[in-house]
Amino acid sequence: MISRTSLKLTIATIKMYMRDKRALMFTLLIPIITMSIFGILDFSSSGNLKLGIVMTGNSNEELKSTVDELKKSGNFETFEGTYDEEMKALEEDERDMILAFELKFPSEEDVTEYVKFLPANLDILNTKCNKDISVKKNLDCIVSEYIQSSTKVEVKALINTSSSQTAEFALLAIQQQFTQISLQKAKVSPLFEVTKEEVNVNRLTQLDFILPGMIGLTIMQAGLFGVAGTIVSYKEKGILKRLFATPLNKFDFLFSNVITRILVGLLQVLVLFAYPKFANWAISTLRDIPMENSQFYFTIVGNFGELLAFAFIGNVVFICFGFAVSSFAKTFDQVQPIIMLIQFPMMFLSGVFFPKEALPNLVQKVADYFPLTFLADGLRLIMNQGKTMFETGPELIGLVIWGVVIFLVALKLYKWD
Amino acid sequence: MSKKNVIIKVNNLKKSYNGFQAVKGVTFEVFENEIFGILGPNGAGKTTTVEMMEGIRRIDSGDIEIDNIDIDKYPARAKHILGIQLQEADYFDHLNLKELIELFGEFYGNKSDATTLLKRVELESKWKSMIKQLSGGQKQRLSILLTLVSNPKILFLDEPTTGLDPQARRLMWDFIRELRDEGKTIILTTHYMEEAELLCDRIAIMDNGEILKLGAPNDLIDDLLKKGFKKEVVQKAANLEDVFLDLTGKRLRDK
Repeated sequence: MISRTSLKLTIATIKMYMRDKRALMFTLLIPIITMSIFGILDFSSSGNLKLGIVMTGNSNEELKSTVDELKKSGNFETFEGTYDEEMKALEEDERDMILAFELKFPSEEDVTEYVKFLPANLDILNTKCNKDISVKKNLDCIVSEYIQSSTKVEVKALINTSSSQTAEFALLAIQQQFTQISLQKAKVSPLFEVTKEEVNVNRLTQLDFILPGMIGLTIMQAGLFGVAGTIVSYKEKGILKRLFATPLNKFDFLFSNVITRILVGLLQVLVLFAYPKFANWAISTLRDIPMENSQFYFTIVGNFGELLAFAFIGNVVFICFGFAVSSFAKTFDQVQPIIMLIQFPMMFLSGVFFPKEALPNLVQKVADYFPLTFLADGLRLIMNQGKTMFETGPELIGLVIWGVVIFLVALKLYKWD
Repeated sequence: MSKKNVIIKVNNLKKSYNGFQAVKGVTFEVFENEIFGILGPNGAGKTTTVEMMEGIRRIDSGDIEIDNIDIDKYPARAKHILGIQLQEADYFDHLNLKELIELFGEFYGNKSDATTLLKRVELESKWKSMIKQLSGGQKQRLSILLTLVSNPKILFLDEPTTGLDPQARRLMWDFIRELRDEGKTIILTTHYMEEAELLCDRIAIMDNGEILKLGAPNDLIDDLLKKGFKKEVVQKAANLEDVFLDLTGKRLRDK
């Protein structure tokens, strides 16, 4: 089946590819750069949330310890200042949230009311005050105990609208912490006790979501640009015409190009896995933190071979796309807008960078049928949920149908000059 | 010369593009072991005719037989005995000359001796270079060389001396004659009448998709003179090119 000519041409094509330093750099560098950006951005954690703390008026031991705990938790980057200072910082987008603490003592009227309704026999009150001393002193003690116990900490949270989502999550966590403290202080055990148990299998990190999408995206770009770009530039320079002035047949030519592209795609996919693995190791070693805490942490639940096989199918589909584009583009200048037209909707609607659930319903329904959606979703099912390639079902079928259709279109349309 | 064998038969060849008839039924024969020139102004239909003979363009009607092979039916088989040089063709960027020659040899299913071939066009020292590093003349020589990888019976050369300096042009002529003397048949298109006159055994002059005249250059000139044609200015025994070559020598400049 595979002729000696196609084998030789394949070797030559791979050689040419490896010698094309610029192409090679882009092939490997783009996935690395994109991964790095995602590693640095780290959307999922609120670790970089900038929290301004304002203390108004007096403070007591409890408030101090609570604020200290907040600062020491490491979940926020905390700043302390006056209300005006912090407000200014918030307006300049330097803070995500401000928490203004103020101690609220019971008012004098409240105290008078409280004293008025004290029972005649103070002994029946459950107080710490010494019952042996004078009634007057005992009363003072009881009142001060009341004041102390009724003092509330008023917390005003000011949220920066530009970071409202992360800030709101953080506020929720802070509120929970405060409730806990209140309950402890009141010596009341909470009515509901929720125990949390982390089931590790589906604990998705940011990279667990992004990585399959990135693989899909890289495969798409390599297929479209790599194939269409190369072949159209061959067309433009007359290389194709010269090749077919020899007995070289078109099958051998296509074969060598497809094989080269498949190998390039495989190389890219391996880099996409190897790079975060390496970054992960490097970060955890350098910063002396567990691997799980590095931004580049990801887990492959499914079988790695299945993952590669599915990526391979996607690769072939997008190579077909590339050939289809090269069939009706005559010059390299035509290739770029055509590819952009195909690429852009998929890049943003196929759920590569963010879940497509965020899209309007109708758009989402259309995007569900994009080849990149099938590819990214299928890769996710294998990588995150441990499915096999055949268990993915619709994703596999959708991708194969796209491949066949585009292949037939390319075959029908193809013009060699 | 004794009786000549016909190696290429072109019979009533026609081709149109979007209603425009580029070739309007041309008929001619090319003999074995001759240099056959096809001349004509731009748009005369030469390239279309030649490309149909080369099997890289389909024929609308008529037929072409190359060494008894119907080229439109069996282009792949015919291409094995053809060496085709195209005017505006480029080659792969990232292969050196030796690799490129060997790869082209593979297309014909044979191992080619790159070193010997490179020596023939005085490029042996460039075997490690990439196409991009060659001068225009060197590139032209390489493109002729690449037609020889399969040692073909028939060569198609499309304006092989365009862009060459006078030294390189003369050496190219010598080379083309040498190839004919080895027994190859050469079909040559050119815009240079001097080249056609000096080099071609017979020429066909085309315009508007038709062959206007066919014959040996000398016979065609004689025919014209018989009609009473007289050149306005009588040429001197030497021309400017002779002066140029006398001053700069005949040595090839970009070995």
